[in-house]
Amino acid sequence: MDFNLLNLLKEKRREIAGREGRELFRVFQNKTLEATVEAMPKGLRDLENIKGWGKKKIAMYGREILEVLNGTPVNDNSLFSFNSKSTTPAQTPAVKSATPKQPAGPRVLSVQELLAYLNDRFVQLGTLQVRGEITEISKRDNYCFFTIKDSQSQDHLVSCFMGRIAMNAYDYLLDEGMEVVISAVPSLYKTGRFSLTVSKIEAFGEGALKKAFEALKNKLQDKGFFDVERKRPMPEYINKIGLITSESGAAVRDFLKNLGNYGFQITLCDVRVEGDYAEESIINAIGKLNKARPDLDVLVLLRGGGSLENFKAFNSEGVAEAIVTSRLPILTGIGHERDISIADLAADLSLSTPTAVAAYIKNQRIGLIEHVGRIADDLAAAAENILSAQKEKLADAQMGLKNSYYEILHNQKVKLGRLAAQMQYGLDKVFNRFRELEKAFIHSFYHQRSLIQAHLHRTGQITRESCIILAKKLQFHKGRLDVAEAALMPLSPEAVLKKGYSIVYKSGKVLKNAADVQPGDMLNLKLYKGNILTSAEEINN
Amino acid sequence: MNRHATHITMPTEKNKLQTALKQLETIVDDLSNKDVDVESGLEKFRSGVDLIKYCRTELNKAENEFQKLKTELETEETLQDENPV
Repeated sequence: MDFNLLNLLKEKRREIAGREGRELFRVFQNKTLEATVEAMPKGLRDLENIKGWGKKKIAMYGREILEVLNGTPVNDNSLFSFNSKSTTPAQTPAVKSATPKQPAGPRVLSVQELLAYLNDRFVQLGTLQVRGEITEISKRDNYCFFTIKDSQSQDHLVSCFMGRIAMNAYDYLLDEGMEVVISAVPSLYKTGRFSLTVSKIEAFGEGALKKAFEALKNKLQDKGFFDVERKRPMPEYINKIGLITSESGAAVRDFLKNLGNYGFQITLCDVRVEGDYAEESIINAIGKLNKARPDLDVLVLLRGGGSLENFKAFNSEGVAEAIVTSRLPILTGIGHERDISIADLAADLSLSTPTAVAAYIKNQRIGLIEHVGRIADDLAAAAENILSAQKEKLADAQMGLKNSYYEILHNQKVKLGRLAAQMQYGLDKVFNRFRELEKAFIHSFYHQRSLIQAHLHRTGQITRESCIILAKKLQFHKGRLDVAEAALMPLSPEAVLKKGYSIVYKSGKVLKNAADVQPGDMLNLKLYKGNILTSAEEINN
Repeated sequence: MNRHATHITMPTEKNKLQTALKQLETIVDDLSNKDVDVESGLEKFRSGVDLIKYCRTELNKAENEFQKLKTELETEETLQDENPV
């Protein structure tokens, strides 16, 4: 491995890192640099095959690295090279020999032969480019005739014919006195009339170019190419950029230098920006990017300053058409401040210079970043507001809760106090009532007791009285009994016996008549004291 | 003696003493005022004597009962006086 070369690459890396303010390994890893030295790439295309190289890296640093490796600035055809032919514009083949080969020996030719011969020679000349002024224009529906006159001499004239296809494309340049360069094939008619069959007309010189420019501008204006309504707005977020310009031009450097380091993804499509192949190259680039990279946000068409001649491609109808038919919006930055090209007019947005385009994209990005920042701030503020509103709400709710709690507490206290007072009152009432009842009870008790005592007293009295009465009654009865006894005792019939009388019983009956007795009857004599049992002896009636 | 029983109507439970006394007094009246023969007089007399015996017994019994009740009453009164309500 060439370590000197590796060191040179590392030095370059340091330079890039310093320039872009990035860390070394972010620019290239050591492995990548080593692999690059090993591979020794010759062109940008070769870099694709080395590990660690991406399209972005190639676009950003490929050129610089290759310069270090090869020791010279690289003029490589880029990744997208549509025009790999030689860089030198094809020159009009000079008519070296105006004199046709002399026929061998004197020979008489028929007119037909002569015309055929001359025509053959003309054909061998191929397409010629001739400069002159247009005059004597005669247009038909599908073709036209005009004469091209030498700019310096009034007397040198050539007739020209233009068919349908060429006429459609260059009709606008057909203007009396317009200085042009025509591409044409010379031909000779049967009548001997010489004419140029024109395939292409290009304005020549500042004035003519200006005229041509105006003419094309008017034409395309009529076609509606420049209508504001047709133009697409630039995307709000430009990130993937399809850059169409010469990779070696000043325009791309100015553009990249002024774009700033915002991580844009740039796909560079190297095109010719002047010369014969420029138009085709630009048209192809627009077509190819539209087709192959639909993910791109915008196509940027750039060219540095130059003369009207230099801008030919950008003032061509083909490029204008490619711009108008592009699906991707196109942003142009062509020439210096004052230059306005057809491409600019047709573009969706045109800015004065490549630098202005870079500044536009950069400012759009900065604006977007700022916008996002503002939105973020707004969002934060809004969130803050919501939060603080919620906090306030919460605080209010808390306060409300606290207050309502105190209120409830207070109400409860008041209620309780009222209840307590009511209860106290009720209790007092109850107590008072109770006291009254107690009093009434005691009163009635004493009353009852006095009643009872009265009754008892009365009972005692009655008892005593009844005792007395009863005793009296007993006494009375006793008295009666004593009287009766005393009266009875002397009344006993047997009391006469005391005086000496006797009672005679016969068979238990008192004997009152002597005739009731028979001698020998048993008689019982009852005396005062004792009895005599005797028998009758003699009866005397 | 069985033969007296026919002459004396034994008093009913109610105020029998009163009746007995009345009978006794009737007997006394009969014996003092009328000309009573010995036989019936004797019978009446005996009935009178029986009535006296009966009345005396009854009176004694009543007096005893009365005295007893009177004592009880007095005791109760004393107790009541000692323990007023």
